[in-house]
Amino acid sequence: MSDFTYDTGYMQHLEQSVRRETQGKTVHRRRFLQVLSALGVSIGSLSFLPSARAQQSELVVANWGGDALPAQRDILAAEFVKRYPQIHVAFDTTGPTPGKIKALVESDNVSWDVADRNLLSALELGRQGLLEKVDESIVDINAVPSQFRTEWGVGSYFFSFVITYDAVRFGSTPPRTWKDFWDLQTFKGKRALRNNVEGVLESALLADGVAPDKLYPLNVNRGLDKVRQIKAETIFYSNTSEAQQLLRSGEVSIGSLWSTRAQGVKEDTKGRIDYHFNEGILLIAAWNVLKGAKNVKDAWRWVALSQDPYLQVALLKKLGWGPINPAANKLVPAELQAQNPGSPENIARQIVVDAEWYARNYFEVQNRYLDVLAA
Amino acid sequence: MSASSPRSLHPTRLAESTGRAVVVFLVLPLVAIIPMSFSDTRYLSMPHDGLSTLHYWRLFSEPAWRDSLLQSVGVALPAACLALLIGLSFCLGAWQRQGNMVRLLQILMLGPLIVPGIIHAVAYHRALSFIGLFDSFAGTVLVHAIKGLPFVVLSVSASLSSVHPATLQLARSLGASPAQALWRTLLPQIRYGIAAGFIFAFVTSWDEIVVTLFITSRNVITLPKQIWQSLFLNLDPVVAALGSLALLATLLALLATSLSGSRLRSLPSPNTIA
Amino acid sequence: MILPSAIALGREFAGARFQIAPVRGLSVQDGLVIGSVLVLIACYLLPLGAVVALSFLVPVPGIGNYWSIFQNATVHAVVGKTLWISSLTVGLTLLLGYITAYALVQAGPVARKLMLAGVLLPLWISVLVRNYAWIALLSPGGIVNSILIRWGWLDQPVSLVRNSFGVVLGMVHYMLPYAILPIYAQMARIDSTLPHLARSLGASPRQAFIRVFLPLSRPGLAAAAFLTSIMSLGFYLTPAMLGGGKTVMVAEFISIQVTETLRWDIATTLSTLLLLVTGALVWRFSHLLELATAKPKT
Repeated sequence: MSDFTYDTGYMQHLEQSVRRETQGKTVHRRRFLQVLSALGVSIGSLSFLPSARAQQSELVVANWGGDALPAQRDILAAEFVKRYPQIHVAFDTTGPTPGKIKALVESDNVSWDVADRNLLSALELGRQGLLEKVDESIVDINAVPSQFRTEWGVGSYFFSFVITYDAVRFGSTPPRTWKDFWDLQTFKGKRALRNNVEGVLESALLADGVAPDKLYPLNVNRGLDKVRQIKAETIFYSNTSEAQQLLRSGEVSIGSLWSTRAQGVKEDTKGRIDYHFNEGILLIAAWNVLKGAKNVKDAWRWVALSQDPYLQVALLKKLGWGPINPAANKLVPAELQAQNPGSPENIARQIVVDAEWYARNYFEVQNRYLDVLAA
Repeated sequence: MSASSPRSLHPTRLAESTGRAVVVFLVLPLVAIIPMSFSDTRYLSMPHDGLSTLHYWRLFSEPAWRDSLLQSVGVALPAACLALLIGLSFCLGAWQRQGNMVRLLQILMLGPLIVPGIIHAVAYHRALSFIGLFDSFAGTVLVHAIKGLPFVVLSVSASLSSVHPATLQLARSLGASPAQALWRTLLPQIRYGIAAGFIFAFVTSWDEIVVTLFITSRNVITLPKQIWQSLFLNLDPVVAALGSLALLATLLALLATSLSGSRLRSLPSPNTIA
Repeated sequence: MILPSAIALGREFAGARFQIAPVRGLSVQDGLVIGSVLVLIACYLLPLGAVVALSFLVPVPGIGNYWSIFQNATVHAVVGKTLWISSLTVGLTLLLGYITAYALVQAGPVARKLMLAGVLLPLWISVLVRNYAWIALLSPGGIVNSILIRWGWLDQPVSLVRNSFGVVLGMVHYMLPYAILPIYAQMARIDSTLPHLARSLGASPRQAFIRVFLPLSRPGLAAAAFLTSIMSLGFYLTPAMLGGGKTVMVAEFISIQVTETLRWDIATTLSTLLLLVTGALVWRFSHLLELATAKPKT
């Protein structure tokens, strides 16, 4: 993933960074940097050091690895390079967490251009000044319905938390609703929920009998109380490959998984693990472009490209990403509609997450969720 | 463990069997890695239908693993050198000195070993962003050097303490220059301490994960970070293959040291702190 | 090379120049100490100090962060869990470590070599790999459960991992070598004739152990207690991997504040408190640290 260049390139980069940094910064900081880079240069001359510095003509896409890497590489990057041959697309699969984005932006060393995150992150991070505003001269914001875009990002695809279960174990009476998910008597076995609160509160409130159209603003106390009820029988996973493994190994019987990963585990187990979109919690992914990224223009070109209806269908086929561009939905082959979180039928069965609510409450609610887990 | 056991079961006997059980417990997960490395599944688990060497093959053929290995060497070597330089300077300077100030400084030098990794992670996450070295090799080397520093200080000062205090004066009085006295008489006497400090600083960097996760993103992917990513994001069984090879290498090294006699026994194990 | 720039770094921060190669040896020594300490200040104490400073500065200056931390229910839960798990694991580790060290001292030369190898081996295998091995061994579909069921000890699989049990097990496994080695080093120094002497003077085996052997091995035990207490408070990866999301300890909580919720106020305040506790432990056990640097090793 990283290119190796040797001493000279590394020294040049240090020199450049010194030059860039010394403009308009405090004297204290400049001196510190100079001395440290002197240290760095001498280290660089001791041994070869890989310097995977983003070149001017490189677009760096940060995603979450796993199955997403080959799909984005073969579909989006391949097409991007076709349209803009002078640009090299590189991927970073280390996971674009808010903390990393903040650190990169604050260090003036923004080695990512565009990150695979979601609409509520676009709001949260955008309001903190960590993201670029959408360049409407490149991105056609009208390609997605207005409720699926914000100042700092437009929706790129649908994905949802779906009820994923052991089909062999439950046979002809699989869990259909979140009420079933919470019903430990009828549906034996452990549960798996994500250790991140997004989507979990909605599931809990639906299980508690709140009507889908009355969910927002979320009743946090009530939702967390409901989570407490099944806490002892639930494993809270931090990443979806862990959740897949829990279902595969039979350690849990029902889990709330991303539809994309639920499809993956269904294929792995040849249908022993199954899922459906009923009461799915629909989230809107969005590319976030980092503030001060080295290649902002190409980043928005990347976003514009990902709205292409044909590519959206290709990504649905390969990854299960639901096309968000209405133009794409007409192109989806009938046999794929069943696994499309964004198909009209499936959208009608699901609940759309209110990004605005999370953007206002996420930090506090996430910590309260941790409180429930840790107590 | 003392006298409360039944008369037929001698306390010492009980301690011995408990001790053996503890050692088995310590080795158990290491042994479990081996069958996992021959698994025929695409995720980390015990073999299902048969054995496969695919994951060993992937370990050597996938560039990500080779690159991260090279990067780990590229970070650990300069980091260990830097740690050695700072630590050796301090130990030589503080040698034969008494007083509260020196004692305090010694404890400060051990700080990176004592302070929990997460605090280092938070501190360097912030500091390296501030000076623009976030996700850079220079920054990673610097942080790893600091983390290796206590081991250099521990092992060098341990070996210095057995050097005769008058060594340098003696050499000087026989006509050696200060530099000669240092190079020819003092340093040779503490070379094992220096080597041990260097090795432990190297290994500290080689194995460092918590802080590295917080101070790097794309440019720096060391071997532990590659392991973390493939385990955490993919549950990749390649990690078991790597673990098995590491186990094999460690066993060979242990065998070699026990055959080559006691010289390397002076290596500081973590118990140096006692 | 590195040396000049390292010295420059020190000099830069001292704001003063010092002579690096004067005529007399003593001044060179001074220079070495000052230089290395300045590097430590610049590269270590400053970043740590910034964390402490931030805890009093963001989002608003004052001690408000500490006030709200003490009232924060989540922090209470996390700190409570950390203290409970830490004391349990330290206790277990010391008990098992002491017994194992004793067994090591009692063992014959070959058995001792093998056992020592077994104690050292885990130190060289990445903790990430070890944790996943535990999951494979202990999960309901894992080997341990199937063996227990085959032997008829269990009717159906039990969860031995992804809960507090798994965390305790993983932590004890991680810390045991760090307890066994110092205790063993100390016990090996005890004159093996002393307990026998005590017995010949009329002490019961129990008295010989409690009055003679235990006090003599105490420094090793104290060192092990110091090491493991500090470690246990800072555990991050093991609870995160083996706890099934329900064992959130302080370190993981801090990391979530930094990476996910961007609450630097909570992260730096908790880090400062953790630093304080660590400092207190160092203060309490500082004689152990002096021993290492000032006196010859065995």
